[in-house]
Amino acid sequence: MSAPCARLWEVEAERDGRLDDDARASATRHRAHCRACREEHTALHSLGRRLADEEGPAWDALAQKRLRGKVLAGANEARLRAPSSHKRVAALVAFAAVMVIGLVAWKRAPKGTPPAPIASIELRDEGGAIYERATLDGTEHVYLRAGTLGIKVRHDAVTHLLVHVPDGEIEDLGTTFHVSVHGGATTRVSVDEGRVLVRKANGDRDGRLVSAGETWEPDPALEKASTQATVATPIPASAAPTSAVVLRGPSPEPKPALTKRTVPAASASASASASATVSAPAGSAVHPPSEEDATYMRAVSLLRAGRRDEARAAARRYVVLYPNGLRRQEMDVVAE
Amino acid sequence: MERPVKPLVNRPVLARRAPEISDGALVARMCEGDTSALGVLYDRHAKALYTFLSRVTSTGEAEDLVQITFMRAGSLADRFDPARGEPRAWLFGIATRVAQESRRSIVRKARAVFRSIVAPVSIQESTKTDVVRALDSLSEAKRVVVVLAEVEGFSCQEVADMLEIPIGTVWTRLHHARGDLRAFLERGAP
Repeated sequence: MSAPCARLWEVEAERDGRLDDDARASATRHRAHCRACREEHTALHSLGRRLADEEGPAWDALAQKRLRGKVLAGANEARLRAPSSHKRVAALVAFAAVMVIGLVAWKRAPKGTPPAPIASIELRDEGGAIYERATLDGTEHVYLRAGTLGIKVRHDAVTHLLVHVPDGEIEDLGTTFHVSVHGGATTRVSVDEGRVLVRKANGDRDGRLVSAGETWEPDPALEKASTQATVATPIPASAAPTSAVVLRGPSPEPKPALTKRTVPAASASASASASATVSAPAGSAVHPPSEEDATYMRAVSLLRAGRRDEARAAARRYVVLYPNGLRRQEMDVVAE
Repeated sequence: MERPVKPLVNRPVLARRAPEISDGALVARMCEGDTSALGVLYDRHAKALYTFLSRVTSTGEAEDLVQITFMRAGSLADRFDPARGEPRAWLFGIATRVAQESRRSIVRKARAVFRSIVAPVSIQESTKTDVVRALDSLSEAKRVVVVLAEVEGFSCQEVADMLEIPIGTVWTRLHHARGDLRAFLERGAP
């Protein structure tokens, strides 16, 4: 029996192609003198030969031909079924186009956030202005609690602006104007360009038209009298007007006189940022919001946050609590 | 002097008619939708694939697997990369994957049960030679490697490419397979 050789592994390594040229030549030279390696080489060679010479299972020519027919028929069928390369490319292009269009539409679709404020409206704090801005049903609403706000509207068919003040509202008709509110009442509306319609909550339904270069200022004596009258005789629910403005006053007040403007516009600088909420400056007198305002603002805030259902509920609550409220019509729209 | 008559069995007719067309050219024609090229490829390699699949599956479904192999080759012809090897190695690679999938399928298991009922094991075993029985005694992984390398003559690198495994794994499996085969053949059939 031959002694095991340390280089016996080289026989199998050579057969499997694991040796480089030099190592293979060395292994061949070694094998010529090493009996164990020669026997191993012969054994591996013999095994390989036995495996290779082993006849495979019989496969008769008829079965082979039959299978050939099946293969070709299947290949032809698959080829007919498969779309041509042009059709495949066209389908891919169409699919890609649909995906791109869908992606763009998805990107542009509202995501439950409030609509962006209309860019053609510029708001400018001209002195302690406390206001909020919201877009509701395509109309821009500015809620001015106190201070003076400069407003510039670039007139177009889309933009419609309502400035809500504690004692009424001002409808823009395409213009640049300034509104001042102090102590919960509108103290001044001056118009640079265009014209505005000033409606007082306790005033007449038609309001006052203020044109370019004019200033509207309330008569203090008449304001006091009409406020007392409002408190004394509230208007019933059935008498709510159908216009965009709810007037709570039972009878028209005497129209305050329009005066020519004496105060020049202090603005023309940078516009206020959209949707901004300006906090009250320290020490300034802020009229506390009423319960009605708070209820209204809650509904608006929810609407702006995209919480539509909660906004609807809040709007219904407003309608129930304040059937003759100043924001009744807006809340009706939200509550629907 | 009388010339010896060669058997016609397993001698592809079309392959003799078109010896000048290489396997690579046939695959290229298959890409263009020429199914007759697939027929020539079948004539050249079907028998070898049938033998290979019979050895590595041992369930008597080699014919079905040959059909699946060529059908798949027809549909994958455009993915054939000549730089990665010869079409023959590519076909054996497809056949190997087909065999692996077949072994995994529940349908195959059901068929095997059916066949074992119809044809008793003793009858099947009686027709097998020692070498075939030795091959059957190997694990599937070792059997595939040793058949591809020792019977079909592929290099270890080609086997590694076909099976998508490291070449070191091929060497290891081959070494153990040889040891098991030698042990089986030396001690004789059980």
